[in-house]
Amino acid sequence: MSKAKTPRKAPNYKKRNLIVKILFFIVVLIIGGISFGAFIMTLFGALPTFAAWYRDNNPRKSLGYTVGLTNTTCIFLVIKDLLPMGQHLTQAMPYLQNPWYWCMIYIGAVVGYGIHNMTPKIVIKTLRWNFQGKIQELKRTQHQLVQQWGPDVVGE
Amino acid sequence: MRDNRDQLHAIKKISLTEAVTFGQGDTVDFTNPLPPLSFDPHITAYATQKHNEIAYVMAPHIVPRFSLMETQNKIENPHLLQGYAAHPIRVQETPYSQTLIIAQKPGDISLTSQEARNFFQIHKNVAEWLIRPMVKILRDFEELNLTHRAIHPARITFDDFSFQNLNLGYGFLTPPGFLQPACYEPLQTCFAEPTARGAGHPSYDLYALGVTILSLFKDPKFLQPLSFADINKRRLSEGSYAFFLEKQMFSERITELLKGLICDDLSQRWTPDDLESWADFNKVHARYRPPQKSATKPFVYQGQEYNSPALLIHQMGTDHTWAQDVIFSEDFRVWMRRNAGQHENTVGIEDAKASASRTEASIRQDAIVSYCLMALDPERPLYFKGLVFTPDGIGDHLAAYFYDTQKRSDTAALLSSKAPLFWLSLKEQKSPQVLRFNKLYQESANFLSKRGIGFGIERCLYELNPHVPCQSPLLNTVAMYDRTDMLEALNHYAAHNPGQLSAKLPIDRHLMAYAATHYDFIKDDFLNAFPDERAPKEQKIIGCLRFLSLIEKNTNTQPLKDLYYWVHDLSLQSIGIYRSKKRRDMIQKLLESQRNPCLIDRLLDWIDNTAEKKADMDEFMDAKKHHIYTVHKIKEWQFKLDNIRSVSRDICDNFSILLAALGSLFMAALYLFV
Repeated sequence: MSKAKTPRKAPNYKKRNLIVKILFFIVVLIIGGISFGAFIMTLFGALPTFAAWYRDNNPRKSLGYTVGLTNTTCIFLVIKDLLPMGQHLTQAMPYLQNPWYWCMIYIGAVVGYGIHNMTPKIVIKTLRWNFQGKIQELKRTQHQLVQQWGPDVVGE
Repeated sequence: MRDNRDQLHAIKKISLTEAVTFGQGDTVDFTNPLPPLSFDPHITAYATQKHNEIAYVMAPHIVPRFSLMETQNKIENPHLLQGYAAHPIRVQETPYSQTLIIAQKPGDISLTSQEARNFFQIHKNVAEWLIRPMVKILRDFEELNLTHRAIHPARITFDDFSFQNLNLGYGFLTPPGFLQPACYEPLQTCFAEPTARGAGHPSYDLYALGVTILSLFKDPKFLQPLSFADINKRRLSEGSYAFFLEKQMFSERITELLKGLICDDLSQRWTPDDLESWADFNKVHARYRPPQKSATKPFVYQGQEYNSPALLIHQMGTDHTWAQDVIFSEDFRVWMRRNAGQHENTVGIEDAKASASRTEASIRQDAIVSYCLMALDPERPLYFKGLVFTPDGIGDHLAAYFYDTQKRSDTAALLSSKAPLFWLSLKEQKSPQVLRFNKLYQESANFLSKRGIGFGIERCLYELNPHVPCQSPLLNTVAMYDRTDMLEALNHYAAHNPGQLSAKLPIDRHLMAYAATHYDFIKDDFLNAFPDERAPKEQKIIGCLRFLSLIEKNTNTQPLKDLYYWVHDLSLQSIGIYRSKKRRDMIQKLLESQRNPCLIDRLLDWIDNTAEKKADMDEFMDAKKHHIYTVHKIKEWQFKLDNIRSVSRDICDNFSILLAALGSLFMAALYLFV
């Protein structure tokens, strides 16, 4: 006897998002505790992520995660040099005034937006191709059945 | 009495070609007094036979009698040979590739000739010259279980003026009594339709002989001023003997003879023994009984006054428009009881009406009249829709007018109404003949109630006339002399109509009805299970193959080439009964490999295999289920396709996050290590 499939439990997105948010702020606070310059860069650099997060009405916050991942990756790559400087803001100023760093951070966010916008088109195209293929195959099977058994095989 | 017609099929076989060559150059004269049936080449010219330069006309009504005589080797009997064997006088090939031979050659001098009349009137020795030979002939008939039913001065002939050899003329070319002027028919049959008089009783021939002898002693035109209808009506009211003899006086001896023969009561009429005894100058008492007394007061029907109840009943039977109203009127009942003295006959009317009310609505009114007239006078023949039948003549009438739509439907209505059964039920004496007819008419009513192939009016035709050849158009061009010849006849058809076979089945209603009548192994269960006309062609072909196979098996017929090819082509058309193409292809290959004639049963085994059919059906049901599954699946996928945005949302979300993660990792790796 085959086991009946247990229905998959729907994930609790709110809880997950809350945990992610708390973790993010803890990480930001830790960064702030280590280096004030890194804290400022993180805070201002993560603005696209905050915007994406709060703009995204989807409970799964896919836009927030996508933008957040690319954006924060770039932030971490930039602040890795600021962290050893500690709370000395004057030492961090050249970094903060370097537009290349800010540019890199925001390009990361733009990439995230780009990924999020392009993905549905690719996925839908792929799925459509897949579904149409399956329908064609079933129709082929039906045709073969009719060929083999005649039109009476078409049941109601 | 009925002819022993079951032996009719034992006729020697002869090819049609041989028969066609016989007597070429002669022409056909249809002016011979043959029944309407004979003018239809489909029936009349069914077959011919050449035997010692004697060609027999094998019209349906002739077949049993000739064949019967031949099978019993009575052909050597001189007077039978001269009297009843037909000599060809006219031959013609018809458009139906059949040969018509209208044949009869009685003696040259008939009893109506002046020489013959003079001879008998001068010698007056009727006993020596007429009665003795006739007794001999009538005894031969009795031995053969036959009645001639056409004894008449014109048909009693002699070879020459010596008047030594008496021959009877053609009595077997037509339905019994068809050729007889009504005054030569006894009261039991004289009112009946000429084709519905029936073979009757041997004493009917004696009655005809009596009137024939009377005509010798009277002016030959003594009946001419009266129509046959008037003669019969007067005979009915006055009695035949009294009417024919009027007040004319004959010698005591001749008077006795006429009284004994022209007697309306069957039980009182002389037998051949009485006749012989009379010829031997022994004293034979003529048991003549005068007819019923007339009513004390006439009854008026349709403006005519009737004194005789029998005549009134006859009139109501033939002119039946107002009969029902009159029968159930109080005036008629009072007249029957008080004036005609027939109280007991009026009692049965209500029962008769109740019995007739059980018939179909379309024929109920006619049935009520018919039943009530029978109840009123059980001695009268059968009246139905203004027609008059004798119970043993219904089959002959049906055969004679089978191609006349109106008359055929009237006869069918008569059989459906079960009026013949009611007539027989009124008979006190349940003789074997009565019981046989009872069974026959009961079955006929049942056959008519069924519409399937092998039943209906065609079945009645063959059951009531076992001698009638199969009327199927498939056998139109070939003679089937023996009932085992059916397959050979079909083979002949197949050989001569090669272009018309593909769309035609080797059976039809006539063929099936004929087979059901003549083959004991074809039971009604088989016919009931036979696919009806609305069934798919494949089923009909298989039913047809089963039928042919059954005949083949039971008649031990060897495979017949042309019939086999016909059946083989049909069996290829019938493989559609299998739903699986694979199986169809396999059976087709098997069939195509069997091009050499074999038993039909073998073909049937491939086409109508129970195990294969079951497997085919099971597989078909599985395929059907699978098809239903695919339909549901297509719907499901189509739905997803139509709602692809909502369906793909989760995937898009997850996929974009995944891509972002991978992109991030890639960027990090690039930055850190490069």
